Amino acid sequence: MIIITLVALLLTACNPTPTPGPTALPDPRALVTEAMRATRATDGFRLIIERGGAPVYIDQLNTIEFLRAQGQFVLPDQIQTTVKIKLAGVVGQAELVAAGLDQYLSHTTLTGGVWFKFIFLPGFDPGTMLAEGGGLERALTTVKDLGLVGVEAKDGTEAYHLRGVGVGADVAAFTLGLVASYDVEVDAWIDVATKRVVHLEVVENNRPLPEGETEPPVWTVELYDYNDAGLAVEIPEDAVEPESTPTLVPTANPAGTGS
Amino acid sequence: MTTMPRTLHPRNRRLILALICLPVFIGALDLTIISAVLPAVVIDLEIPLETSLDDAAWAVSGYLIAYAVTMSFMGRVSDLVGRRRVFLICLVIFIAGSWLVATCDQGFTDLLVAIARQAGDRPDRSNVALMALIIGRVVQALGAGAMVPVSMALVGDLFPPEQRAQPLGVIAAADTIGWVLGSVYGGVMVKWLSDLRTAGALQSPFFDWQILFFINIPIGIVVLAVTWWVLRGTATPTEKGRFDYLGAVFITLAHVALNLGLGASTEATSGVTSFDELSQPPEYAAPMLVGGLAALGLFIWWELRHHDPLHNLRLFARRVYGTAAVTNFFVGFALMIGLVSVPILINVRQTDTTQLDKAALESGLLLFWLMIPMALAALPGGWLTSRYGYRAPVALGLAIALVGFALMGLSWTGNDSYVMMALQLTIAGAGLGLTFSPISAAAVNSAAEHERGSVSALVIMIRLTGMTISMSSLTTFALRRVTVLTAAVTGSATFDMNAATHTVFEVTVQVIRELMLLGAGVCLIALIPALLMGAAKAREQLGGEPQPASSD
Repeated sequence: MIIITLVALLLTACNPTPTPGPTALPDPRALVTEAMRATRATDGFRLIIERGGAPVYIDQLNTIEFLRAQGQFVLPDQIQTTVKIKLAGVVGQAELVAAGLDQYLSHTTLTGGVWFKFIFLPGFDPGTMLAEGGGLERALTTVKDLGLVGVEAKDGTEAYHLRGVGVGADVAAFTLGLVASYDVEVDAWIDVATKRVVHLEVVENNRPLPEGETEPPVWTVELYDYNDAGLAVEIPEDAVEPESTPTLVPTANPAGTGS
Repeated sequence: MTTMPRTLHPRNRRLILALICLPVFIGALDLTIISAVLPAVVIDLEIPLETSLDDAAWAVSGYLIAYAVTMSFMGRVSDLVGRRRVFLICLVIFIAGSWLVATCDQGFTDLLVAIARQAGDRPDRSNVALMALIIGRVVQALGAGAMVPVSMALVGDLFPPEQRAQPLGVIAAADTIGWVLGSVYGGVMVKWLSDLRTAGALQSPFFDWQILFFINIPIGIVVLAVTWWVLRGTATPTEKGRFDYLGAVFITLAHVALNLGLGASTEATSGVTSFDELSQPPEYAAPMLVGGLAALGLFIWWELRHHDPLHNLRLFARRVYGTAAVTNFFVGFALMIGLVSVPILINVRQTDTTQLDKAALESGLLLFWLMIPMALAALPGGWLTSRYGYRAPVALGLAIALVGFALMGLSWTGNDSYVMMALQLTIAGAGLGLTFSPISAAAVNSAAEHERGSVSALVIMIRLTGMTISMSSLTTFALRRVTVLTAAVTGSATFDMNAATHTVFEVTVQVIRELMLLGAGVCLIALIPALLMGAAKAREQLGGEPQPASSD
């Protein structure tokens, strides 16, 4: 009897209760819908937007190159960022606040630290970033060949990795309106636990490149600190509206040089 | 202290002297080379202009602080551990630091970014690359600064007392010539590399400003191998005694805290729009200053009671030595004003960053007119000292420098001719240079024979301390003035890029003029201790050496 019991125990040990197999990956489109719902349900988040590859210019004269922006987004339509730009080879940074279609800019040198209200980024509306049925949701649901690449670690978070080809205009709000309206490769990472979007990568491989450039512009967007207590966008109430259209391009040699 | 057998042939001694002078020279060269290279570094690393001045200034002051700190105690370490070992380790540290600087935006930055992300931070990679550069500069300086006193101590081991003056002078000259030529060399190299790149001869990103630091590596390795070989036969004197760890900690804390405290207010200038906003410096500024002063006080108290102090501070009680040291501090302070202001003025005159290489060369060449007369004036300074004593040439030099700074402060408009600027810089440089020999002689002749090596290093260290304090406090002053003046002008104007650029130019020139007048004021203040030096001549002072009190 004892032997039978021992054999039974041994057999039990050798055949433990079967562990659940790998979780079945969700349907990509259902995941996008759930991710957008979860992201929209938050108060806001902090974000970093970085551009690599070929330069992308903010102005039509191709003089102000966008490099990086770091700030916060408060739903539904307010964003405050420090924007790093390159003008005539010199890097500077400006403070930008956008609330709906209103934009405010402050720069230590350019405006002497005073807030100016004018359209610095034409066409940029932060309200479209996470708008229901628009923005990122439309970009990810209407993409061709949307696929779930798998589950992987991204920025220290276990995330679903989605990939597809979308229209640039739909993700433009995540790049301060700077992605052009060509088809773009979109990679999105969605937190497995919270189902929120945590990372985006957009490659503009259909955009015409400036002369001498070989790599397409690559946009990296990180979204983090969801619902952080410190999230708040302060609209500059005393912003000055310039009397004339701002001159963003310096003329050569304003001060003159010595001999 | 035990002495090593002096069995080396004089020719071998001179060979060793030449070898140890080379890294001392390169280390000093790197002290000022950065002023020519920094604009290119700021552009290359994409550091925002708004933060570049106060952040990038640490690439200069970090080196100065580490150079002065390590100089203060490594000579003593070599007494205890052995010259050869310490010299070679310092050389390795300098080579490692040079590599870190040259590759700052590569793997080292990746590592720092990864560490920051682990800590939950998401820094801008450009800022991290600048931090990597500053760390590399500090590592460089820890090695470079230490080689000066260790080399001077090596002279004591290699040469008999009656033959030490000349080799000590050679090492001091290698150090001085190094930092005199640094900015010129940097400017010429930046321009040359730019021309090569324009001609298509250079493709690799490493062949940019980085090459100025990469070049230290092969030279350092060759010197390392050769000095390792030539010093192998020299018996290392190791003194019995204890290293003054607490003294080293106190002086390091004092240097770092005082400079952080004085430089802290730069943070208050970010985004400031009115004088009211400038009223409060950051919270850590006051504790740093208090802590720094406390550490300095503890250092003095500890050194006076320690059996084996890092430095014999009782020398300061001797009138000639004390007044010479204080004057030397102010000379370093005034010198830094010239070194910092000229590159800023030249850069603000450029409206196109593609001309930065030209600006670097112009800065270097203009600084040449400050530095070369300064080095050359050491000769008449020495002659005047032997003829008229210490006080007269120091006071004369300070008066001439005062005139030079005042002329610059009163006349510079930003569009001045280079000839006029060079002439005025020459006056200031010659005046400051005239004080070098009498100050060094006063200090060294106040010390006992066995203390002269460390006192020689101390003279350089005190001048460097004046330079670091000048750098930290002036950066703060200049940034606050530029920000306030810019806000006062631009804040009420129409948003206009051209107007803003013009305002920055006007404001920067005004602040540089104020800095130059401040330099004149510093020379005026320095005249007080200079006049108190007394009229003693070296021969009279040495006659009763070491002098216990006034040498009048």
